[in-house]
Amino acid sequence: MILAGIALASPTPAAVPGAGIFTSPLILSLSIWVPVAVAIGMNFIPNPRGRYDTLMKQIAFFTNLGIVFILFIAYNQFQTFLPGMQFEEKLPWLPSIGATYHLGVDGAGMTMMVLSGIIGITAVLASWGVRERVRSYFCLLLLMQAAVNGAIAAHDMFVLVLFWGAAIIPAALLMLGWGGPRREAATWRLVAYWGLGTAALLVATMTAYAASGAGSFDMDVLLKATLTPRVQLAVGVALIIAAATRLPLFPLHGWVRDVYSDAPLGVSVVIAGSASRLGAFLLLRALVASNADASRLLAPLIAILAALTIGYAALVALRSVDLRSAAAHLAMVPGAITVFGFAALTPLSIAGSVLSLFTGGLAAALIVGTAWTLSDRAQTRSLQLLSGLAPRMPILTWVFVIAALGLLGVPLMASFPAETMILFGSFKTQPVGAFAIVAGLVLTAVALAVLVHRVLFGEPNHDAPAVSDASLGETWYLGVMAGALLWVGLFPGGPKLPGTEQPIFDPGLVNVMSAGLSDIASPYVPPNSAATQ
Amino acid sequence: MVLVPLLAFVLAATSVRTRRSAANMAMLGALVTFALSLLVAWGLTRRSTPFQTTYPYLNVPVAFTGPVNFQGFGIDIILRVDRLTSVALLVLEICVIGGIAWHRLMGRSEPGGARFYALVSVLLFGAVATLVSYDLAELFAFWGLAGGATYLLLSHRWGSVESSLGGRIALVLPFAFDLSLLTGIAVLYSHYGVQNIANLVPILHSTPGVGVKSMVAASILLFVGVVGRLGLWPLSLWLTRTATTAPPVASALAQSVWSVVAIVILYRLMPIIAAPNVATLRDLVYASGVAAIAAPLLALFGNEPRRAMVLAGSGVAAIGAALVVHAYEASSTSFAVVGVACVLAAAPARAAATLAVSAIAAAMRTDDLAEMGDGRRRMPTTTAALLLSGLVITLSAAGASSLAVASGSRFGFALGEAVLLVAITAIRVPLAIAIGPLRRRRAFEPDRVREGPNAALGWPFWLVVAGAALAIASFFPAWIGFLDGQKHNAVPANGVALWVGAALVGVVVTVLTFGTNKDGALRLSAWLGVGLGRLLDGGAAAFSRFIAEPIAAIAEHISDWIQQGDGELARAAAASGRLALAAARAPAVPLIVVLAAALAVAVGLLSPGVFR
Amino acid sequence: MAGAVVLVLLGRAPRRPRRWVPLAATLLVAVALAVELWAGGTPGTYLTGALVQDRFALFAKAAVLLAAGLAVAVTDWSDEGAPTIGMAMILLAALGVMIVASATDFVGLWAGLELAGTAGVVLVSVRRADLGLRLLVSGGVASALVLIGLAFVYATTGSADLSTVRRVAGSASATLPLAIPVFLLIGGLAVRAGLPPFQFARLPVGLGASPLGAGIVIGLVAAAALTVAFKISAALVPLPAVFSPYLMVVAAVAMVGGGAAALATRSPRARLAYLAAGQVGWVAAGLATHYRIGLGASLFLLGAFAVAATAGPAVMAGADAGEFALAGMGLLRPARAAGIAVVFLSLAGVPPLAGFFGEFAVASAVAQSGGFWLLALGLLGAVMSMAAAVGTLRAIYLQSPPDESRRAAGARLPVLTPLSTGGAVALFAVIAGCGVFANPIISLADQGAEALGLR
Repeated sequence: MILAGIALASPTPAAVPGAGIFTSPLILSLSIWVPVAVAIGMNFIPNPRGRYDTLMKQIAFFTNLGIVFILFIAYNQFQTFLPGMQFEEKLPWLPSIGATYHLGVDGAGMTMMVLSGIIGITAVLASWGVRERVRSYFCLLLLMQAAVNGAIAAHDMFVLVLFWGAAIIPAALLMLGWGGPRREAATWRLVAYWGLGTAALLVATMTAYAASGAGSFDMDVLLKATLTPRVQLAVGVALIIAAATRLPLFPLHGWVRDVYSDAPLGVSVVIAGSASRLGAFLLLRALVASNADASRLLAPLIAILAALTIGYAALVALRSVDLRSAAAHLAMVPGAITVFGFAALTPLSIAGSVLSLFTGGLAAALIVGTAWTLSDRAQTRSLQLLSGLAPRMPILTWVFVIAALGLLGVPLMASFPAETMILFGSFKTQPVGAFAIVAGLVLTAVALAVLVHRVLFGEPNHDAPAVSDASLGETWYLGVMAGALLWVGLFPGGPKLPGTEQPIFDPGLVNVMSAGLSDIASPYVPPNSAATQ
Repeated sequence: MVLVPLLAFVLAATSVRTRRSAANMAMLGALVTFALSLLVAWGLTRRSTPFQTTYPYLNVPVAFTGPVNFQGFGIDIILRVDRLTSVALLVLEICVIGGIAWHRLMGRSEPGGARFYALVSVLLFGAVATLVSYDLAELFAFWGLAGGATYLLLSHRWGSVESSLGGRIALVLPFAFDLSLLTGIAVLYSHYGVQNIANLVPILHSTPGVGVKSMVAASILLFVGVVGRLGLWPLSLWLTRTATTAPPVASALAQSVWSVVAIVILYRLMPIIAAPNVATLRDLVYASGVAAIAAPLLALFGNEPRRAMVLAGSGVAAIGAALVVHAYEASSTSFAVVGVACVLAAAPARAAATLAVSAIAAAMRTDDLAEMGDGRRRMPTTTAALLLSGLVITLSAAGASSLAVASGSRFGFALGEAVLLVAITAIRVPLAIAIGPLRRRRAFEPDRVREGPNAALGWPFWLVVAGAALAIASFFPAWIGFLDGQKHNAVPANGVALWVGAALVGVVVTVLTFGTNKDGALRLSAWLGVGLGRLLDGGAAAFSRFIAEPIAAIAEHISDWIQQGDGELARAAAASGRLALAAARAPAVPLIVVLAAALAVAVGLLSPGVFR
Repeated sequence: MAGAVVLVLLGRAPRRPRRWVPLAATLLVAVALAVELWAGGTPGTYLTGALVQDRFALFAKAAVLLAAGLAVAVTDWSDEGAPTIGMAMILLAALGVMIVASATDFVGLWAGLELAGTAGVVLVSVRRADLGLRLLVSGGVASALVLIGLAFVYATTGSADLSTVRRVAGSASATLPLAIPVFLLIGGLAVRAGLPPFQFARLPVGLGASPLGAGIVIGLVAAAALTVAFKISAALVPLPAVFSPYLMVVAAVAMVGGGAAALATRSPRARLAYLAAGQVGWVAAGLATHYRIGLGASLFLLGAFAVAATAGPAVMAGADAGEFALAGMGLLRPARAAGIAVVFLSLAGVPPLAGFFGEFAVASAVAQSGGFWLLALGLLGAVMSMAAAVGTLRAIYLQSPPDESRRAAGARLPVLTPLSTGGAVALFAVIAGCGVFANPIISLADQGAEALGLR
C-alpha cells in the first residue's frame, strides 16, 4: 500500500541530494546526553568568585551550537520519503517490565527536534545577562534542554515519562533561583500542574500497559495494541489532561501567568518554545497516531478546549494591565490552534498541526521573550506606564510586530501555512469549532492591536522610567526566532533555484515534517465515495 | 512586476533612513511597476490569451489513500494577467503614484515618514500580487499582506486617541472580513480539495457529497470577505472611521486601491459565488442595492466632508457590486464587467477627492462643512479638483448603470435612486466648500487660507483625469469588450440620457439647494448627523456595556478563580501534611488493638463459614 | 559480625581511634559485599538449614551492605559521639537485615529484625538516652505485635518454617484466625518501619539521633521490616486475601501521608524520613500485588530505598539543626551536596534516579493487578514528594551559606575528608547508576522474587 501510495502521492516532496548518506546510530542520544554530560562536567571546573562565568556561558553556548549542528546534519540527512522512525536506537532497559531505551523520530519528531535546537541556542543567548550563580544556571538549563530532547525522541512510553517528568526539577530550580518577585508562586504552580500532568501521563501509560497485556512500553507495541473503546477513552482523557497541563489548555493553565511573567528569560523561552509544545506532541504520538476510536470520540472535547482557550486567552490578554501577563496569555493561542488540528482529524489538519508545533513554539517563545525583554528594558511591566516606545526601541518594535504577526499567522510568517492547513482541513469535520477558532483569532488580533498601540505607538509617557533598546545578545536571540519564522514562511519547501525542483542546503521543513505523516493520518482519510471526479 | 514593490520595501526597511530617500525609493518602485504593467497591457492588446506563470510554494503529501484531491496539499504561486487585471493594475498603480507624490509635499508633517513609504510599497506589492493570483490560498496570502499594510497605514498616527481607536476598527473589521474570506476558501477546499480557481469552477456542481448549504455558506463568506474590503455599507465603517484620523494618502489608498482589488476579485470569484442557487444571488443583490442607497443617503447626515466622500464612493462601489452580482443573477454574465469598470473609474476620483478635501480641511483647519467656504477664491485649484472628482464619481455610477441595467426594472429603479443620491453627495461637498463665506473663527484667520505647494496641486487633477477617462470609456462597448473579451452592444442613447439625467438631477438639486440656502441645508445635515451620531454612540455603548464588557469581565473573573482555586488546593495539601505530622502523636498501639477487634467482627460477619 | 566486635573492642581502647578506622570499616564492608557478590551467587543453606543463600538473599544482602558501606563512608565522624560504636552498630544492623534475608523460619525473621532494631536503640542512646528508651519501648511494642502475629500464624499453619507455611497455605483457605494475626504482624512491621501514622517513635528519634543513628532507624530497620514483609508475603501468597488488603491500606496511607508530611515539614531530616516512609509505601504496594513481577519491582525499590534512606541522614550530617544547615552546601561541599540531592530526589521518585525506576516498576505491577486507585494515590503522593524535594534542593543550591553565628548554633559544616568525598561521589554514582544501568539489577531482583517461590 505504501509503495502504491508513493506512486500516487500528489505531489511528492523533493528528495534532498545525498539524503541518508550519513546516519549515526547515536545521533539522538547525542542530542540528549551531551548536554547532561556537559552539565555534570561544568561542575568540575573551578569557578572561584565567578571568575570563569563567561567561560560557563560559552560552554553552554557551544554545546548548544554543537547540538544544532548535529540536528542540522540529521535534518539534512532525513529521508523524506520513508515512513516510520529514523535514527532509531533500541536497547533493553527494564526487561522484566518491558521497558526499552527506544529512541526514534519521524517527520513530526524531527520537526520538534529542530525547534528544540533553535530554542536551545536562543535560550542560552537570552540568558547571557545572568550574573548570579552562572554555573548552576547553565547546568540546569542544559539539563532541562536534555529532558525536552529526550521526551521528543522517546519511542518508548517509559522513556517518555522519564524525560517528561525529569524536565520539571531543573525548571523549578531555575525559577526559584533566578526568577522574579513572584517566583515562589510560579514555581509551585509549575511543579503542581506539570506534576499532575506527569501523573496523568503515567496513569494513561499504565492503563494501556495493563489493558494491552503485551508487557511492553515500546510505542510500537503499546500504542498499536487493540484496546477496547472504554480503555481507549480512559487513556485518551488522561492524555488530554497531561497535554492540557503542559501546553497549556484552559482550564489547566494556572501556571502560565506566573511562570511566563516571573521565570528567568531563558527558561521562559524554553518553556514557551519547546517544553510546552510537548503537550501537543504527546497528543499526536499517543492519541491521534494510535487510538483512532478515542481520537474520534474525544475530538469534540479537544475542539471545545481549543476554542475556549483561544477566546479566554485573548480576552484575558485584552484586560490585562501587565505586559508579561498579557503576553503569557497570548502565548496560549498557538497551542490551542495546534490541538484543534488534532480535533479536526483530517490528514490536512493533522499535517497543519505538526507544522504548527514548530511555528507555534517559535511564535509563543517570541511573544513571551519580546514582552520580557521589552519590559526589562523599559524598567516596568505596567501597561499604564508603557506607552509610545517605538521611537526609542526600534529593534524591539520590529520584533514585537513580527511576533504579533507570527501569532496571528499572517502571510510570509511560517504560522500562515500551518494555520491555513489546519483551517482548510477542519471545516468539513469541525465546522463550528473552526468558526470559533476564527472568532478567537479575531479577538486575539484585537488584543494584539491594543497591546501594540499602547506599548509601542501610543502617546509617549514622560513619567515612565528611562528605556533602552535591545542589547546585541537580545537582538540575536529574538532575531534567530523571528528569522526562523520568516525563513520557513518564505521557503516552507526549502529554497530552490528558479526552474529547479531540488531545494538547496535546506530540504524544507514541510518536506521533512510530512515524512511518515500519511501513516498517522491513514485512519482519518475520507472515504473514496466522496472523491472528486 | 510583482517583486519590484517588495524590493522597494526591503530596501526602504533595511537601508533607507531619511524621509526623502524613502519617498524616492517608493516612487521608483511604483513607477517601475507601472512601466512593467504598461508593457504587459501593451502585450495583451496583441493577444487574447492571458499571460500566466506558476511557482510551487508549498507541497505536502498528507495521505496516500482516499480521494486524490485530498492526498496532498499545495499552494502554488499562480501569476495570471488578463486584460481586466492589467487595467486594474494600471489604475491602482496610478493611485499609488499620485498618493506618494502628493504625500512627499503635503505629508511632511506626518510622523515616521520612512515607515509610511515602506508600508505603501508593501501595500502596492500585496495589491498587485492579489490581482494576479489565481490560487485561492495564494490570493488570500497576498490579500492578507495588503490588509496588514493597510492597517498599519491607516493607524499610522498612533499617537492620538482617536487615531488609535480608528486604527483598532481598521484592524478588527477588515481582519474579520479577511477571515471570512479565508473561511469561505477553507469551506470550499474542505469539500473540493482544489484551490486553483480555473480548476475549481468546472467541478463546482459535479462533485458528489457537497451539499447546497455548504456552497451557500461558502459563497456568502466569500462575498462578505470581498465586499468588506470593497467598503460596502455598513461594512464601510473601517473607512469612514479612519477618514479623518488616518493620513490623507492612507485613507485615499485604502479607498481606491482596495476598491479596485476587491471588485476585480469579486468578479473573478463570481462563478463560485453564483454556484449555489439564484435565491442566494438575489439576496446578495438586495444587500448590495441597499448598501448603494444607504451609503450616499447617510452621507447627507452630518457635515464631515471626508466621511461624506467616502460614503459617496462606497455607494458607487455598491452599485458596481450590485451590477456584477445582478449580471449573474439575471444570467447575463457579459454585463458583469460593467460593474467592475464603474468601480475602476471611480477609484482614482475617490483618491483625488480624499486628497483634495484633506488639503482643504487642513488649510481651513476644520472638518465641518458649515465652517468651510469661499474655496473658489481661496483654493481654486483644489476645489476644482474636488468638484471634478465628484462629477467623475457620479458619472462612473451613471455610465455603468446605463450599460447594464434596464431602467424599467425594480433593480434599475433602485440603482437610479442610488445614482441620484451619489450625485447629491458627491457634489454637495465641493459646493459647500466652494461657495459661501469662510467665516472667521477663534485662532483662525481666513485670509491665511491659501493653496498648498504648486507641485502638489496637480496630482489630484491627474487622478481625476484618469478617472474621467475611464468613466467616459465605460460608455463605449469597445472598452467593455476589451476588458472581458466579449462582444457588447452599443448603449442606446435614451438609456444613457436617462441615467446621466438622473445624475444631472442630483447635481442640479444640490446646486439649487446650496445656491439658495447653503447654511440651512448644512444645518439640516448637521442636525441629522447629530441624531445619527447619538444613535451610533448609543449602539456602541450598549454593545460595550451589555456584550463586550461582561464577556471580558467573565474571562477575567474565571482567571482569578482558577488562580485562587489552585492556591486553595495547595493549601489543602499542606494542611493534609500537617495532619500527617500530627499523626506522629497518635496512640498507635490502642489503635491497632481496636482495629484488630473491629476486623475480627467484620471478618466474622462478612465471611460465613470462617468459624467452621 | 566479627568486624563489629573488633570495632566495639577498638572503642574500648584507651586512645581515640585513628582516622583510618572508618576507612577500614568501609573496606571491610566493601570486602563483605565483594564476597557476597562473588560467592553468594551459588545457592546453599547454612546452620542446618536455618539460613539460606538464594537470589533474594543475595540481592537484599548486597543492598544493605552497599547501604551500610556508603553510610560509613559519608558519615562525618567528627560529629559522632562514639565512632566505633556507630560503625559497629551499623554493621550489626546490616547483619540483622542479612539474617532476615536469609532466614528460612520465623525465628530467623524475628531475630534479625530485633538485631537491627537493637543496633538502632544502642546508637540512638549514645547521643540521646531518652530517645533511645523511647525507641526501645516502641520497638518492644512492634516486636510484641510481630511476635504475637508470628505465633498465631504458627498456631494456624502448624509450622514456623516459611516453606511449610507456604505449602499449608496452598491447601488452606482464608480464615479469621489467620487474618487477624497477619494484621497484627503487618501492624507491627509498620510500627517498626515507622510508616504514617505509626511514626510516633521514629520521627523524633530520627530528628534527635546522630546522623548514623538516624540512618539506621530510618533506613536499615525499615529495610529489615520490609524484608520480613517480603518473606511473609511470599509464604502467604496462596492466600492473598489475608495480607494484601492490609498492605494496600498501609501503602496508600504511607504514600499519601508521607508525601503530604514531607511537603508540610521544613526540617530536612524529617522531610527525608517522610519521603522514605512514602517510598516504603511504594514497596508495600508492590508486595500487595502478590505477583512475582510486583515483588521483583518492590525488591528493586527496596534496594534503592535502603541505600538512600540509610546513607541520607549521614550525608546530610548536621542537617538536624534545620534547613539553614544545608544552605549553600552546593558551594561549600559540592560532592556532599550532590549526594544529598540524589538521595532526596530518589526517595521522592524523581527521574532518572533509582527511586523512580523502582516506583515505575511497582506502578506497572500495580496497574497489571488492577489497583488503579492505589496507583492514583501513589502518584498523588509522588507529586507532593517531588515538590518537597525541590524545597530541599533549593536550600542546598540556591540559598547563601548561613553566617557564622548560625553555624555556631549547630549547623557546623561537615569535615572534608577524602573518604567522605569519595563516599558522597559513590553514593551519587550508585543512586544515579542504579537507574541508568538498571537492566542487570532489576533482573537480579526478579530472580530474587522467583527465589521466594513466586511464579
